Amino acid sequence: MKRIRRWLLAAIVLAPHLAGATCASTDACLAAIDKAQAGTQTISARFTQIKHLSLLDEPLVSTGRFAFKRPDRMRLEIETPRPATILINGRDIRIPGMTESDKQQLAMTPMAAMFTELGAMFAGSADALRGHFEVTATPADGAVTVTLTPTVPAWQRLFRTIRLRFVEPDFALASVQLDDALGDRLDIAMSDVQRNQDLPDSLFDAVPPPAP
Amino acid sequence: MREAIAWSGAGRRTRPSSPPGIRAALLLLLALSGCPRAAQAPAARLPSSPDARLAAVRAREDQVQTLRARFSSVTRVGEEERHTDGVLLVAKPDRFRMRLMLPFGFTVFDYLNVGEQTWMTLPLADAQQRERAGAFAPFSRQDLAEAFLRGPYAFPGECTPAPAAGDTVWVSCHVAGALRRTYLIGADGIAEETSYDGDAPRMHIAYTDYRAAGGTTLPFRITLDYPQRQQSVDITIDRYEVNPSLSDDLFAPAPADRAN
Repeated sequence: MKRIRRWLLAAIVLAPHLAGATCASTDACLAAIDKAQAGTQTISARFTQIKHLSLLDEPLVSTGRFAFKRPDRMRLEIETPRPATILINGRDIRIPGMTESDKQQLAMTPMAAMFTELGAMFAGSADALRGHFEVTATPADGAVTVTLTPTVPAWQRLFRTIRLRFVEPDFALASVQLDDALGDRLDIAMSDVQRNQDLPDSLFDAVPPPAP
Repeated sequence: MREAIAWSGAGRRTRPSSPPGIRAALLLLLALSGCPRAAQAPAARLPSSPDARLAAVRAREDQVQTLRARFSSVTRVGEEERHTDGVLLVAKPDRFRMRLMLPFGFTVFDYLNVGEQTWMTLPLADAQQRERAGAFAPFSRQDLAEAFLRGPYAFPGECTPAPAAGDTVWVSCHVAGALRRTYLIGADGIAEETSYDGDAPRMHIAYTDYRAAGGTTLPFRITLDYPQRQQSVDITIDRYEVNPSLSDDLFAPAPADRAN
């Protein structure tokens, strides 16, 4: 009787997760994420970013807003501690304080291409990541974690791994963890994720001056 | 002869070809020493006698054997500006490391010096840019040693103090009869420092916002000007740690560099 009770209890506890665990392999998980993202036109969210620098004992924390618009436009607006806005339009990356020559150089770097490929995750074409990454996806605790390990040297100089956590049932992006080649780590936690809100194109075109 | 040797992330040896803005960022940090920003106590005033004031400044600098500083900087080249956040570690007599980050957290630059060896990593750079690593950071080891390691690097040859206008002291340092460095020392600390190439000023550094910290007095605002390059760097120190314990691991080359 006790054994039956244990089985019942386990079934009750695990049922929601099992029901949500719609994938049993990397291919299946990526397909599930792609399917969930297929109807995504825009994403907006808040984020908290924690930079663990190997040279410092304490982490550096910043907060801000993130926006994505299909096919490949992104806006990272850091609000604290120091306002800054980064705009990504395909391989065009605009960073405050960057000179025109820096901008041109940056467009040629692996980072620009990497952003473009990461944007594919939001656009429902995660399989495209396999061009430059070894991709694994594993379900756990009501979410799917996609681990990207660069396979080309130029990208390996940027990151050792990138982990993206998509939460069921709609596979919204919940967090990103980037481990770079210098031993530093960047943890980004998303909150208040909104899908398919109306985001005007102008949001991705201009950087308004920071509030005084 | 001033010569800078840098190693790119790919382990390629390069010779800097032009002075960059990042260099300024490096230089400035050094001269400071300090404590947390919370320390708002006024700076201790230096003695009035020229000899005693110079001795007191050098004694202050010698108090700082290790240093960790977080800073933000604005580099101006012509009408263009670059904003960067960074961390500097110094362990005298011969080790220092500086890392710079973009506003959204990516590490874009790592410079490590241990003794006579130097490693420079540019994670975001492509192969061509790494080939031209010097254009990003043409540090001369001499400049860096002056800025970060101080001691005889900062006060070369024979340095002579003399009374100057107001409550300031003028110090000039000569090597084999040639002027190498001048200082204007105020009651709080060094106000201006100028390095020379021949008779021409090569680099001018202004120190302000002195505060008491960690048993010494340090500047929290440093401005570097390179008159011949029309380039300047404003550095604001967010936080100092004076004489922290810095493990040897912090001065180990990055894995990619080790592999090379």
